[in-house]
Amino acid sequence: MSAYGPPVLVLVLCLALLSAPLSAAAQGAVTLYTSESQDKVNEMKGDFEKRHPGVTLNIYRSGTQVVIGKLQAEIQAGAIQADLLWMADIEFFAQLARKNLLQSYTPPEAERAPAKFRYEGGRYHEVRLIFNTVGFNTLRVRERPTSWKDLADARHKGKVGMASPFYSGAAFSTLGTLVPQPAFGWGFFARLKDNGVVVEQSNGTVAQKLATGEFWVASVVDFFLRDMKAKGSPVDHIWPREGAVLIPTPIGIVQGAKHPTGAQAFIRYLYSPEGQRLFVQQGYVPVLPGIEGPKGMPAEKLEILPTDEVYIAAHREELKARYRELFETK
Amino acid sequence: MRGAAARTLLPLVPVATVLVGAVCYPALVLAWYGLSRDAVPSLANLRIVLADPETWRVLGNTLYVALWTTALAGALGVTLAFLVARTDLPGRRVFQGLLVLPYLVPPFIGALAWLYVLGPAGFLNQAWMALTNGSDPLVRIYGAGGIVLAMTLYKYPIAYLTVAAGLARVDPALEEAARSAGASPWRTARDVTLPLVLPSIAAGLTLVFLSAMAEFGTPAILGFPAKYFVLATKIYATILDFDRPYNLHIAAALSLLLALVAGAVLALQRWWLRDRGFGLVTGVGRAPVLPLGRARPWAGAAVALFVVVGAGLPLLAVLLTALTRAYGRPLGADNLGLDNFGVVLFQLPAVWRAARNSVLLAASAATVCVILGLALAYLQQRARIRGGTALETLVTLPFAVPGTVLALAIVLAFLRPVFGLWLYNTIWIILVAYVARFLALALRPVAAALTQLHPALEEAARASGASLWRALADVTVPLLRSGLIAAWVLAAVPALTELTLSVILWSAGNETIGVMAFNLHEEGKVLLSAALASLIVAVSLGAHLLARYLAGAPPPRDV
Repeated sequence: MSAYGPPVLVLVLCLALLSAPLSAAAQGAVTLYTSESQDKVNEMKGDFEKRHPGVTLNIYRSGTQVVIGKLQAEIQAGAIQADLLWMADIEFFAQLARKNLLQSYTPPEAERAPAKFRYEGGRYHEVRLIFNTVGFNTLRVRERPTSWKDLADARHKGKVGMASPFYSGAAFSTLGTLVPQPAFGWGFFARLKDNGVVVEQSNGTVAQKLATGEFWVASVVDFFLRDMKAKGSPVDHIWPREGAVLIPTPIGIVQGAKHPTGAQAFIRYLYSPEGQRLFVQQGYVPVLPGIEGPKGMPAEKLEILPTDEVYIAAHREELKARYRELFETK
Repeated sequence: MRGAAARTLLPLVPVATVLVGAVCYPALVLAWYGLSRDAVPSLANLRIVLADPETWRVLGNTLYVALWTTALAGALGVTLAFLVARTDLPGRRVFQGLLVLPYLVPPFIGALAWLYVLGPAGFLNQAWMALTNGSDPLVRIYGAGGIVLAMTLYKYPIAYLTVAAGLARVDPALEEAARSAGASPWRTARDVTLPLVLPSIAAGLTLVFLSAMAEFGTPAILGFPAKYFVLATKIYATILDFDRPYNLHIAAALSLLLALVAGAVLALQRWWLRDRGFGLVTGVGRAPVLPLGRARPWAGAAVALFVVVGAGLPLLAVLLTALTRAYGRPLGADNLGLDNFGVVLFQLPAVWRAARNSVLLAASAATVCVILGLALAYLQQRARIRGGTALETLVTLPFAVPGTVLALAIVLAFLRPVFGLWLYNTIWIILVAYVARFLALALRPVAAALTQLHPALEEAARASGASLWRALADVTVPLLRSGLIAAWVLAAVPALTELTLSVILWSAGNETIGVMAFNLHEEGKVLLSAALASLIVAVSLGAHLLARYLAGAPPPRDV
């Protein structure tokens, strides 16, 4: 029987170790489903756990649409695993609120932030601001762009990038904001297509390709570029004169979450001065007044394009279908 | 006698449980999803799939890419196998080891590697653009061409190893007979060796074709940006397209289509090979060596160049990218550093968790597969149960069918608890998928080893009074030791860096290391992904060397 000893031991050990995470989860790890950048959200996790010993954060990270898909599968099966949701799709949060799947919670720190960032009575919150703007490669583009229309400029033909609304919530918000605007509409996107726009999955990929010169200009989320510019990459971004698109990236607690106290602690942390300052370090714009904004943020008064959430909610499928038609069939 | 017969069949219980639970049941659920809507039988999904021109275009892409890869990888594999095994190629012993190298690189990392070399921002194009002061890349890697290139260079070892093994099995006496009858070495090779090794070539080509048809990682990385889809990536995209009504049903219907094509190819291969036997190893005499004459140094140089460019260059590109500090700045000493490794190893706890998951999953799955493989081989050869072919098909099915299809079937089967067992969103669902997928790999060496063991040894033990289990434990298993270890390694190594299954089955805390690298790349963290990919390749190489040491021979692998 000695021949069986080692393999059976190995198997039992492996199976035991595989079960270990299950017990850890049961002991109070707060589960966060998010589309935040992997490294940035891990930084937040590290800082948060340092300040709140005894609470662990378990992170599931993927593109917004992937996370939504997973969540919807869990809702269908009647077994939501997440405690916290943090994604760039405010309309989805509105849907969840309607189905009573979100818990209302407003921490005292949140009272200092503008009221408009506490959505639907505190069911979900905006804890920092990100914007979709126009980015460009400083080595390839001599003339600083000034407008969204520069993406359709023939001088940049074939060198324009954007993220996919099927993966990135920011890209979907931008699509939903620009389409109903009379100055843009579907015609703008058709002109982008004619200008050879390349669609990547994520904003991160678009930003990287902007840095290497694969793209010269791109519709991309601002903080990526601030981050890379700080590290020395030849990129920069401009605030389009028509206005930038505010990308809502709300965070909310799931109704019936298994670890509500831990979840609340995380939201408190994000609203706290320490949390807000970490955001600034990472290149985001804070919501708390009195905290200095990140380097590279334009100082002038900022024009923000109005986003019609009602329109997006009503035309969600149509937006995706027409986009698919325009960009995915040859 | 009935008691003894019943005990002989005892191994059937665990085998049947696993095969039914991990193969039959998911297959049925998948078929049901594809052929129903709202729990009512319906052909709507199939109609949508078959009527959509996109489906046919994607099917065409899949076959195009698979056929080209098979042709090129087959040509490379056969040529190299001949050169190394049958000619006086200089340095052939060194090449034997080096030519298998690409096999140890997980396919999606292979694709990433070529992206770093030939991508729009890759080293070649950067050099070209610097040279010509232009901004248009010389080479476009996204799309069919790039996919075929990457798959060929990472799958040719499958053909190479199969043909090399076939060449080793050819009885040298036959070739000697031809030589002594006056045939020149080349005539012998053409008229004697080649026909004898033809079944191996066919087997190698089939394996490459099935592998190319099933692959997810390479078409995902090199196809998505060009909107070039193959069936595996299309199914993945459909699974994620939650706003599309009945998306899971449509994904299931597409999967049935893909499974059908794979099944047809397998059936074709079985039918073609049914009358042709493989020559058994008979041992004596050395195979004749063909002198290359004046072509000798050229051949040596060509193979060396191939190894350097085909295998070395991309791995170097991965390392260089991993060492780059700021993307977009030109390559230079000031832009190189270990920063990315620092982030990956010390600032992303998820990486360590994923590594631990992968190691445990691979070890557990391999152990379960070997135990089941032993039970299965025993049932087939010693107990001689009926329905052996049915069992064989059940075992091979999850391996022959593309991974994406298997993953979808398992998700659908275990989305709700089965018999109170909650598998979805746990690490166990990945384990189930791994066991289903790699059982076929483990079975082959175990079955082969068992055939070489004469039952007389066990019968002698039984005649001396040992019970069945005692005879197995004390006689059979120890004698099978090297076969069991080979089987364990064969299943564990691909499971370690696997992506296709885990990309669909993973959940919070249950990432595998392959998923981590893929997600980092998809997120656009190219540098971090490259650092992680370098580490994965290093671990894979290390695991291979360790396995070689334990088992004494290079194990062939297939994913």
